Amino acid sequence: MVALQLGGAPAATLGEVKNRADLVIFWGSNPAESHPRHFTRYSGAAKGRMNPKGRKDRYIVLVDIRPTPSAKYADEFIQIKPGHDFEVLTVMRMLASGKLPDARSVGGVEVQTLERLVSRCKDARMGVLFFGQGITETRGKHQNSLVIYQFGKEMSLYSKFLTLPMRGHYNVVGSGNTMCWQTGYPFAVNFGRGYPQFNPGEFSVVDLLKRKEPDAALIVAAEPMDHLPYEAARHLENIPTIVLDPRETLTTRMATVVIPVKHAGISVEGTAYRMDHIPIKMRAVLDSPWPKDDEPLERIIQRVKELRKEKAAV
Amino acid sequence: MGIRIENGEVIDPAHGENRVRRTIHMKDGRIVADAGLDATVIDATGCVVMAGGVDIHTHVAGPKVNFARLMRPEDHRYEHVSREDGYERSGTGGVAATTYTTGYRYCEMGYTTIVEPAVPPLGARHAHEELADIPQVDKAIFTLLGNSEIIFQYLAKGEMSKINEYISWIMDATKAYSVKIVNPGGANMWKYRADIHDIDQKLCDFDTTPRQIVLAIADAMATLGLPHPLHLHCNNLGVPDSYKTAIATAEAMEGRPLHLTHLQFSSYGASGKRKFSSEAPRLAQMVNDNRNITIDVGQVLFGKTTTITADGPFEFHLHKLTGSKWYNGDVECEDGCGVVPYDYKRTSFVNSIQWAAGLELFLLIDDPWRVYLTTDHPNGAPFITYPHLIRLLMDKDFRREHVERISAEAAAEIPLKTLDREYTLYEIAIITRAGAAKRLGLVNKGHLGVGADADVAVYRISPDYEEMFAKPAWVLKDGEVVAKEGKVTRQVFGRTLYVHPERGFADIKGELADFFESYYTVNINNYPVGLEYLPRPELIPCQVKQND
Repeated sequence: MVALQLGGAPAATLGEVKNRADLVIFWGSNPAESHPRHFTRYSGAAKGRMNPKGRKDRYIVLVDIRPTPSAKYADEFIQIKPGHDFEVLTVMRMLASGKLPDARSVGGVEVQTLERLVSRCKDARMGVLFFGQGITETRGKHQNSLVIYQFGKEMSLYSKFLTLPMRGHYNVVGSGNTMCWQTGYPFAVNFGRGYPQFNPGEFSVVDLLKRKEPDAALIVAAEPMDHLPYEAARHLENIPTIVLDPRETLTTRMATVVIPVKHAGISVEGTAYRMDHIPIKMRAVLDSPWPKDDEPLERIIQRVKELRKEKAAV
Repeated sequence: MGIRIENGEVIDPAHGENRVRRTIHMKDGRIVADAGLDATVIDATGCVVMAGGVDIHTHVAGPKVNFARLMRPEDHRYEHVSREDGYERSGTGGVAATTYTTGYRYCEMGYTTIVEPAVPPLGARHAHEELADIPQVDKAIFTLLGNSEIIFQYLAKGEMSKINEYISWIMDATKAYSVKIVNPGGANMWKYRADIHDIDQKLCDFDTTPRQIVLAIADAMATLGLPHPLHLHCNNLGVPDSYKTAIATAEAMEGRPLHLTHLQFSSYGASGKRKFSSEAPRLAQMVNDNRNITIDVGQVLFGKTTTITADGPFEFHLHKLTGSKWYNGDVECEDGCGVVPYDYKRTSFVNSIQWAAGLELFLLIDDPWRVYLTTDHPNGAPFITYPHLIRLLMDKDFRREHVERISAEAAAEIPLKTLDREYTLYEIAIITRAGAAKRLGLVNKGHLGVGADADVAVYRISPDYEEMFAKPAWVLKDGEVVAKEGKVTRQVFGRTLYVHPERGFADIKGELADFFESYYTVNINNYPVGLEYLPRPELIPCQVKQND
């Protein structure tokens, strides 16, 4: 997100990948396990306008620190040393602009291998670089995504080229979009002053929790006890928490109050945004005794308003 | 209970009323003949009373607007609204403001109806989710069809009646109000890393041309009886000699109704030392000579903004030119989009010519009913600059002061310096509400006749027109006071206007399903946007013709 804010990105919906991409690179992503349908629906075997033969019409490259189960789907696997994504991508940018690095290899990869990859990118009808948590959750964080977007923009001078993050976590794109149209910012929003303020590194949840700033937490459809760093998650155990979730999770187990709610897309209809920002309408297929997730929130807001009025009256 | 607005000077161009002192009555959301004895009285002494403003073209919702918000956190840093200031919902401002802020700001200028003109069909669900969060105004979307591969396939085979069916279906599937074309064929060519430079250029993968695309869609729209005609952003926009393409496109229409949007961006020539000139006088002449054509201007005003357009190749060009941030978002089978921040500088020769070209269009088009006030928000400038623009049109001394401040080299060349016309309040009422509502086919808007929607703006008369139009004394939406002295006093939600063509799509149902199966990544059954996404829908009828 921060990388996108710094420079933008060349992107498209996944149907463009299905219809046109003849070069697909997965970097720090293991779709065989993290996005098992991605390959067949969009990026691998999918047949499209310019890819009538599906898999045979695409050259697939996997770049990762180890040969994951996705490697067997790829035409080429490039193994890099952990934590060297930025260096390798920077050398690719050099090579793209016609400069040669002062080394035979970088991050454990032969420069010649990278030269071949860069020229494939330049010659592609449509090249796509999908990147995953191996890029976003490793040292350097948004700097890694930034260098990928920069590479993508530079490749756009030569070929149709897209850079797309492999977003996960169900409807995280929808929550980012909604935050953005309501506050102007996709995450790390602080309403403390009565209006939205944005400062990642200060108002992002991990930073707030590490500083032990929150004295209560309302957690909706998130699993911080599983996903956050230990130090941050630990603070949640020491403050009152209300958790809205359809399932039992590590977070519900430690919550002060748990409000079970319907699962959007299973027991109540709803809208979820796909990783390429296309909203999908979801239907209810099972019944559930729990309320929709906005109902308890509306009631909490209502009660807070009442309490505020009572307080004002006293 | 009703409301009476007394002692104001009514300006209602749809009924030829120019500063007529009479009482406006409203009740149950409509203008009525008599609001009854118990009506609340608003004393509008010293004010003019107009229908609520109607913006025919403003990018306020949908995927690319949200990317513009996302990509520029710096744009939101210095302006906000909050409960402390009396607003129900907080939000941030900037050129790509948040949804609530957008609704409040429009209302505070006296606008009550706005149109988001460029939604790719696949983004319609997203756009409607945002519209549901824009308060204070009625709203509608135009669906982008000028790069639709489904239409291209039918065009290549000459199957025009299937195009009618497809457009009938897609209007319903997107809950849209009309059709917009952006750079016909160009966004499709951009998927092949190419662009269109001539209206008779063949696309690389489909046997058709921009001329054929535009004519086929315009004819289909007429057949379906859509209330607003084709809304067109021409090929070659934003570059020298773009005016030639605009003229060629207009001629290609052969008298069919056409709305040319943000024509200012298509009004450049290649003469002069810098090979960049304003050809606005030629385009104004073309509009004067062709009664089938209406335009909105897309005025440029100086300052930082964010450009947002479905014209993907143009944004890449702008990115290379400026080195600014660049987001590109091609949409499968349908269209594209780009977002690039831009800073219009007074000192820049090119920007000064652009500024002047817009004003020249306003001042040289004789019939105010065929030119509408827009800045192509936020492409030329954010919509909050409208009051400033109105003053530039109404006050020639003010305009002259501003001409003196632009690039001297540009000031020496522009036709603007010889133009003395000043818009009257009556003409402003036409270009900001009456004309736009009429062209949109909104019979209940833009006027104050009995039966109209009770959307009213009351402006206190002042020689400083900028101040006057920035802070209306009262704004009423559906017969309720919602803003006073340029400040929202009550949060309300308007309706979403949409059409439902009668034609149906029986003949293409199977083919459409096959197309989706082959080329889309969304199931056709999950594609249409249902009415559940429009919290307050209002169906606007089509005028169907039988000669298909």
